Amino acid sequence: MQAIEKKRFTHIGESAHEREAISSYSLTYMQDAMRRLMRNKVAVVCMFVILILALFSIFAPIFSPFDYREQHYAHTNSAMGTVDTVEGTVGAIHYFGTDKLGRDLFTRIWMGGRVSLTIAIVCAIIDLIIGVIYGGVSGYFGGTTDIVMMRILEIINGIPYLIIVILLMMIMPPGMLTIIVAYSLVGWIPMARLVRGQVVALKRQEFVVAAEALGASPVRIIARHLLPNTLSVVIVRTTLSIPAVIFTEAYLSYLGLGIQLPMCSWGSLAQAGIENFRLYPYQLIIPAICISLTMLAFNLFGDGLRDAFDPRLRR
Amino acid sequence: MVRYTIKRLAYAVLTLFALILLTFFMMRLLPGDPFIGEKTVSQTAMDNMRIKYGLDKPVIVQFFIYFGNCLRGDLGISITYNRPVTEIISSAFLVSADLGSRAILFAVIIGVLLGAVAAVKRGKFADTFSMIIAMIGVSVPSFIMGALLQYFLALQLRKVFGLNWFPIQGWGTLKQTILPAFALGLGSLATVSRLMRTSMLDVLGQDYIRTARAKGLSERRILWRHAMRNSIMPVVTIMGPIVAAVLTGTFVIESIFNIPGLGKYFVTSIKDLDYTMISGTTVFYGGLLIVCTLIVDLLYGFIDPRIKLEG
Repeated sequence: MQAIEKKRFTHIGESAHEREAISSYSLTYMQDAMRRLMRNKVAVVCMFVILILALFSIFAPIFSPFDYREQHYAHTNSAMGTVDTVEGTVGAIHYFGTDKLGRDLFTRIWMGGRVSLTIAIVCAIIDLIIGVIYGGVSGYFGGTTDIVMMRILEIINGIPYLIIVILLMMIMPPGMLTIIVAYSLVGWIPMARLVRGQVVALKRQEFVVAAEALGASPVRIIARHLLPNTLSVVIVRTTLSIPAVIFTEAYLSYLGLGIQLPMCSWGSLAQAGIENFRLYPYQLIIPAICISLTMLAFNLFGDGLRDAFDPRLRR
Repeated sequence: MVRYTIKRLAYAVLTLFALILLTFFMMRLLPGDPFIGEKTVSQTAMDNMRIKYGLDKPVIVQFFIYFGNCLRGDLGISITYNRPVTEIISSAFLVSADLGSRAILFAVIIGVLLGAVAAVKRGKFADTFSMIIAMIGVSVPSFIMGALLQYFLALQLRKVFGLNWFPIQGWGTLKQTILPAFALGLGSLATVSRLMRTSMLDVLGQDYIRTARAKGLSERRILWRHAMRNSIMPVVTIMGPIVAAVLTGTFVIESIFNIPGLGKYFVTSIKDLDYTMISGTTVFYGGLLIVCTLIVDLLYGFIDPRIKLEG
C-alpha cells in the first residue's frame, strides 16, 4: 500500500463560509446534458459528419463549375475523377464522374443532398409541432377529449402509412411538397403518443397544481409548464425521425413517386444508379453512401442525445 | 381478456372501414379517366363500359356497393387486365408471401441469436460485431442493400472468382431466394437484435438468474431455459411492425430481383389508373397488415400469462 504524503492535506482555516462553499459551478439541466453529450465521442463525430454533409449540400452546388442539370453528351457515364474537355469548363474535374446524360454527379449529389436534407428537416419540424400540440392537448385535458383524440390517432395509425403516402402521391403532382405533405399526414403519430404519455405523467405533479391554483390558463400550463419538461424526449425523438424521413423519401423516389427529373434527391439518384449499376457501380454506391451515412449519423447522434439527457437509460 | 379481444376486433373493423373509405375517395379524386386512351370508341360503347364497371351510379352508391363487395371478398374486375382482382392478387401474393416469410424467419432467428450472443459476450468482439451488423441494417435501405448484394455477390463473384453461387435475378429455385430474402430481412434483423440485446442484458441481471446459478444449473440451461425465454417477449411485441416493414419492402425488392410478386401490380396499377386494381391491392395489403397486427397483439396475451391485458 502506498504511503500517503502528508503535504497533500492542507489546513483551509476555520471560516465556516469557506468550509461550506460549493466548489464547482452549478449547471442547468441543459448545460449538464450538453456536457455529457460533448464527452460522447461517437455522438461528436456524428455531429461533425452531419455538419460536413450539410455544408457540402449548401455550398458545393454554388462553387461547382457545372450546373446540376447541364448535359454533356461528350462525357456520358465517365468514371470518377475524369477531367472535363467541353468548352467552358475545360480542366474541371468530375469528382464523382457523370451520369448517362453527362451531368456532373458531384454537383448532382449535393443538389440531391439539399433536397433530401430539406425534406428531412421540414418533416421533422412539422411532426414536432403537430405531435407536441396534439399530444399535449390530449394528455392535459384527459377524459372524453383524450379518448376521442386517441381513437382518431389509433385509426390513422392502423392504416399502413405507405398506403396513405402512395394514395396522396396519386392525386398530387410528384415532388418535394407532396412528399412533405404525405409524410406529415402520418409522421406526427409517434410524437403525439410520446408527448401524451409524458404529459399524463407530469400533470399530477405539484407544480401543475400550483399553476392551476394561481389561475393559469390551460394554454399557459401546457406551453409553459408541461412542454418544457418533455423537451428532452421530444428532441431525441425528432433527431431519430430524420433518418425515417430520409428512408421514406428514398423509397418513394425509388418507386418513381418522389422527386422528378431534372431535379434530384439522394433517393432518385440511387434509383438512377440502380438502373445501370452493373456497368457503372459508382453511380449507385455514392448516393448509397450518402443515404446510409446520414441515417447512421442521425441514429447514433440520437442515441447519444438520449444518453446525455437521461443517463439512467444508458446501456 | 375477452373484453380486450372484442375491443381490439372493433378497432380492426373500424380501421378497415376507414381504409376502404379513404382508398375509394382518394381514387375518385385522381386526375384522368380509365377509358380516356380509347378515343375511337363510340359514346354508346363508352356508356356501356361505364355501366359495366358501375361508374354510372352516384359516388356514394358506388362506395356502398364497393364496401359490400369487399366484405364478401369480391374486389371487382381489373380494368387493365380484365380479370378479377382477387384472382390476380391471390396468384401474385403467394410469391410475395413466400419471399416475405423467408425474410421474417431469417430476421427473427438470426436477430434473436445475434442479440443474445451480444448480451452474453457483452463488450467482447461478438458484441461489437453484432452491433455493427445492426447499425448497417438500420442505416442501409433494403433496395440499396439488394442492389449492392446483386453487384458484389452475384455479378462480381462470378466475374472475378468464377463462382456462380447466387443468380442475379429471377424466382423459382432456392438459390434465387437467398439474396432477396437477405436484403429484405436485414433491416428487421437489426431491430430484433438490438431489442434482444437490451432485453437479454436486463434479464441476465435479474435475481432468478442468480438463483439458477446458485442451484448449480449448467450455463447452457440457464441461458436457453431461463434467460432466452424471458427476454424474447419484447421481440414478440415488434412482430407487427416487422411484418409491415417486410411487406412494404417486398415492393422494391421484387422489382430489383425481378420477382413476379404483388409489388409489380401495385406500382403499375397506379400508372395505368386501374381503379379497381389500385383499391384492390391497397385494401388487401392494408387489411393484411391490420389483421397481422391484431393477431400479434392478441398472441401476446397468450404467450406471456403474466401480462394482463387491460380492457
